[in-house]
Amino acid sequence: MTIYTKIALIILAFSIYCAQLLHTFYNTVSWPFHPVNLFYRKLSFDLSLFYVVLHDDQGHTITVSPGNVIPLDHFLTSSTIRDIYVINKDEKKKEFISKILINRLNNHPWIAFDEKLPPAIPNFKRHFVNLDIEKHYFDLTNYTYPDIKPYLIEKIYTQPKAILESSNEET
Amino acid sequence: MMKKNFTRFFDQFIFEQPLVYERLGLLRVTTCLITLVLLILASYDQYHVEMSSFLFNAKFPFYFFPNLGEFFHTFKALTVLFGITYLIGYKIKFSGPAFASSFYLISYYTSCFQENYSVTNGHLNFFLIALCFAQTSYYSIDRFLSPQSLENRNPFSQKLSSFILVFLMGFIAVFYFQAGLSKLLKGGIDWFLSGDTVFIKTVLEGTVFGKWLTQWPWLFPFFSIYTGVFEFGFFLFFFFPQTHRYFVISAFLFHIGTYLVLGINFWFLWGLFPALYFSDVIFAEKKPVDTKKIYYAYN
Repeated sequence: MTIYTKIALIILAFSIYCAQLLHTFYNTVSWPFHPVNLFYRKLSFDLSLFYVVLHDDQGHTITVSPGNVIPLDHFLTSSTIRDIYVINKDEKKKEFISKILINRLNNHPWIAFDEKLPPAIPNFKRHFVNLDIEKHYFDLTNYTYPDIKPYLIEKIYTQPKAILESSNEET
Repeated sequence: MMKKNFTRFFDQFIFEQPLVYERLGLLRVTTCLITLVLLILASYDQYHVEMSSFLFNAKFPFYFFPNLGEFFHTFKALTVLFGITYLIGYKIKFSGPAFASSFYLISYYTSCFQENYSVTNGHLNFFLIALCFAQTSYYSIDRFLSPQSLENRNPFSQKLSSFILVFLMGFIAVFYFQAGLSKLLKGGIDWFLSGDTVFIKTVLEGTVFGKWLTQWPWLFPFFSIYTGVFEFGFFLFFFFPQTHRYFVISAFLFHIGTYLVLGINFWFLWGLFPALYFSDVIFAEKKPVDTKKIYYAYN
C-alpha cells in the first residue's frame, strides 16, 4: 500500500467523521448520516407529555403512553402522535389511523422488546373501541417523590362516534 | 526523531492492528447478530405496512423510493435471509453487500414514516457497509470450504482491513462525541451542570430504581457531568490505545447506569465493543497481542 493510498484512506475516513459532525451541528438526517441527538434538549420543569386514553366496550378507560399504542421505539412515539394528531389537519386520516391502532391492540398485539414498550391489552373478554389523545401538563418545580400529577389535561383529539361503531363491528 | 516516531506510531496504529482478521471475523458475526435481532424483534413492524398509505413520505436521498405497502414483509424477509447468510459467512462477497444495502434501504424506509426521525442504530449501517471492504471471513463457512483463501492474504488486504477496523473504532468515538456535542449545542453547558434533564426524564420515564433515586436530586448533576466527561472523553482519548480499555469499561458502566435509572441500555452499540477493543482478552490464549510494538513507537 503506497503512502498516497494511505493518505487517501485517512482523508476519506475524516470526511465521513466530518459529515457526521456536520449533521449534529445542523441537527438533520441525510440517511445514513445522522446527528445522534438523544436527550439533547434541556428540559424545563414545566412540561407536557402526550397520553392515549383507550375506551373499552364496557365503558372503562385506561390512560397509557403513546409507546403502549404504537409499536415503535418509545422515544419515537410522542413525535408520531404529534405528526398524526396535531400537525396533520385531515380528520379522515386521523380516524383511519385511530382505527388501525385500535384493531392492532385488539387483534394482534406485538411483543415488547428493548425500547418497544408492551402493548396496552384490553381486559378479559373486552376490546377497545375508541381512543382519545390528551396532553398532560406537569410542573415538577416542587416535585416530591413519588407524587406526580398533571396540573392540566388538554384534550387533543376525540374519536367521533361513527368510527367507534364501525370499529366495534369489526372487532 | 520525535516526529518520525509519531508518524510511525500512527502508521502502525491505523494500518497494522494486531489480530485484524480474527477481530473482523468476530465483528462481522456480532454486527450481523445485533442487526438481525433488531430486524426481527424491534421496530421493523407490521405498523409499516398498515400505516404506509397514510404516513410514508420519501425523503432525501431517495425521493423516488416507492411505498412498499405489503411488500415490506417480503423486503424484510429478504433482508433477514441475506443477514443469516452473511452471519454464517456463506458467499461473503455477495451476502455482505446484499445485507448492507438491504438493511440500509429498510432503515431508510422506516425512517420515512416521521417528519423528524431520531436515529439510534444508524451506526450499524456504517459498520455493515465498511465491513464489505474488509477481510471478514475468519469465522465463516467460506473459510471452512476454502481454507487457503485467507492464508493467501496479501499485505494490501491486511492493511486495508486494519484501516477499516480503526475507522470503525473511530466511528464509535465520533458517535459518542456527537451525542455530547448535540447536548452542548442545544442545551448548553447547563445541560451537564444542572442535571435537570436527566432528573426530569427519570421522574417521568425512569425505572422504579431511577424514580427512587429522585429523592436525592443533588445526585443528578453528577450523572450529567459524568455523561459529558464520558461522551467527550471517549473521542479525546481515541488516539491513546493504552486508555481504550478503561474508556470501554467506563462505557459499560455508563450504559449500565442509564439502564438502571432510565431503562435505556443501548445494547446494539456496546455489543460491538468486545470485537473492537478486547481482542487481547478474547484471543489471549491463541495469540497474545504485541501491544509493546505500538507503544514503543509512540514512547
